[in-house]
Amino acid sequence: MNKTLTINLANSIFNIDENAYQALQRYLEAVKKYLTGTQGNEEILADVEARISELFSEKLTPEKQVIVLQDVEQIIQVMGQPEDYSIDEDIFDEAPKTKTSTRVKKLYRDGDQKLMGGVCSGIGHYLSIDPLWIRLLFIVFLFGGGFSVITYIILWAIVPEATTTAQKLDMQGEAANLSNIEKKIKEGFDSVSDTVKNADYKGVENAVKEGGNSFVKALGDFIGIIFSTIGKIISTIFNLFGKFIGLLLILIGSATLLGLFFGLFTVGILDLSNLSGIQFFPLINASELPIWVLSILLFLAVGIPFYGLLYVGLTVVAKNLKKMGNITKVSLFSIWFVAVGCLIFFGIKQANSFSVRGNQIEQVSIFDANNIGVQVPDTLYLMAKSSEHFEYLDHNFFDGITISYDTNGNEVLYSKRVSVNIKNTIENNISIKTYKSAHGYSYEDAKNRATALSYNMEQMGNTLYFEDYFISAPNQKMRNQKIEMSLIIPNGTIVKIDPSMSEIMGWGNKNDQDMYRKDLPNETWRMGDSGVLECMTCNSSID
Amino acid sequence: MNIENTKAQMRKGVLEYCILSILNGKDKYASEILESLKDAKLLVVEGTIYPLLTRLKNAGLLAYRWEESSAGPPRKYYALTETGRLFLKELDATWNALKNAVQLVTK
Repeated sequence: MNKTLTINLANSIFNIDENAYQALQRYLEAVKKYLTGTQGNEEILADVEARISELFSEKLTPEKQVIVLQDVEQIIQVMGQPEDYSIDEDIFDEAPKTKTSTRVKKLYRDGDQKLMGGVCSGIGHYLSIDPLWIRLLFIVFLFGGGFSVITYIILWAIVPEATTTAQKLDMQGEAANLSNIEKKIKEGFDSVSDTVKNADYKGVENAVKEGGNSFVKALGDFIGIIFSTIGKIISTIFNLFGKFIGLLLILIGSATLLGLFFGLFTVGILDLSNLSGIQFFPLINASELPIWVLSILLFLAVGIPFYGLLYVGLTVVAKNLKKMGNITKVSLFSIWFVAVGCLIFFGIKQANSFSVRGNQIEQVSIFDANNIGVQVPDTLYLMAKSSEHFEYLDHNFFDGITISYDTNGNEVLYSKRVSVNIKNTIENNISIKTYKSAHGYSYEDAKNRATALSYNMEQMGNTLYFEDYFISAPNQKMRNQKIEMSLIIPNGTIVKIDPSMSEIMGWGNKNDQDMYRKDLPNETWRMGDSGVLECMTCNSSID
Repeated sequence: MNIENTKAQMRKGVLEYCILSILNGKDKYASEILESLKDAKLLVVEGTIYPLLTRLKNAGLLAYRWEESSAGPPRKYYALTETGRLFLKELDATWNALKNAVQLVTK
């Protein structure tokens, strides 16, 4: 059983088997291509079609009503190969043709010289170089991350194999170089001017003479000719632009795929955990997904649309590509849809994990005049204390937080996001208010995370020692944790700040010199009544 | 040197002349012209003739008209124009001269 098609060949109707139809179409296409540039090629083609139609009619009997592949093959034998349509220039040189060959090279896989799928030898034909070089190139890229394997498989899948003689000739035809592209442009315009020249002006003229209805018909035909001519000009121009855009699409698509492949697959699957910055991933990630799953999702979500671009570009540039099957299209789209859906879901989860800020506030009194025997000092010395252990580790901070190891070798979350602001009070006591804060998906979550921060300060005599770091557990993750402290001192207290404090002096320190917070440690200050630190050692002439 | 090529070139060379001769005195449509040429074994495949007919028509040596056919769609009947007739006459003379010359040489 065979599927048949109904075709209109030179105004006769034929039922024709599908494979026979394809053979016939290929044949006519090949002849048409061969005649491109010959004067009156459309007319010749119409004559050829009329003759084939006549030959078809002879083949049909009341018992045999369908044209089969054999019929078409016989007719091609009778009519001859496309080359037989050429007119020998040496003999007929009064109207020399503008070109020697009309065959334009197409990309096919070469089944005759293949090692695997014939992709390399096909490209070799297309670029007119020995396929050996293409194969070498593929092998070189094989060591550069295996990209060539994917390229090879894609090309194998979408580039058709040259099976018919015409396809094999197309495969080995002229190189796709500049002069041929120029030729192609010329051919496009030639075919347009040909249509104009060969238009049935006589018919229009006669019809005008006959008048009446046929005039309307002829006018209609004439308008039709004009429109089809304009259409041809436009399609020629679009063809050229299309090729350019197609090339652009191929470039964008393949470059992006290449980048994605190296960027995501190597990180995700090959697990290059020593890559700078990658150790922070588990600290930021809220989805609890392994990094390689996320990489694949991202690869699919971004890669599939760019694969689509690449495919569109390829179809524009090389018209003979295999059509992508509907099943492939639908499944690609579904995969993309699912990948994007997952990413959105985890993206929301990720964003949510930062949605609420929570804090925990503690106030500790250091010197309180209400307690018996406590003398509130007039002068305070502030010093910062770094961790002896952590300072020797080389840290790579991400948003002020990093992963480090304690003296037992256990992972800890280590941060230097600590700041101290000096405030005033009218009461006669010195206290420290500590704000520990963090983000979380709920206030409770954020508050728990803030409470988990471990921080110490010490007092010895009238010297206060502030640690310049805090630590937490790695499973608390990086959620914008920080510690802000207010040192609250009575008005008139003198403060001497050690240079070690410069890193942790907060933005909230007001001083009468408009000094940068990090410069405060170089001077001696007195707390003014308005909460502004007054400089005691500054040279007043600065003003 | 391919013998088939040489043969084909020889045949192609006289084809134009033969087509004009076939149409001398009687208008014919493409298939009839083909019959005559094939009977005389001048033509191996039919495709060759269509570009030639169009050429001759564009050169003003041939003209055609559409004629209804009882067997199918209308047919394109080719006829010699006045120019074509003069052209043929000249070719006749050339051909005779050539024929004699070839005979002389190959005798």
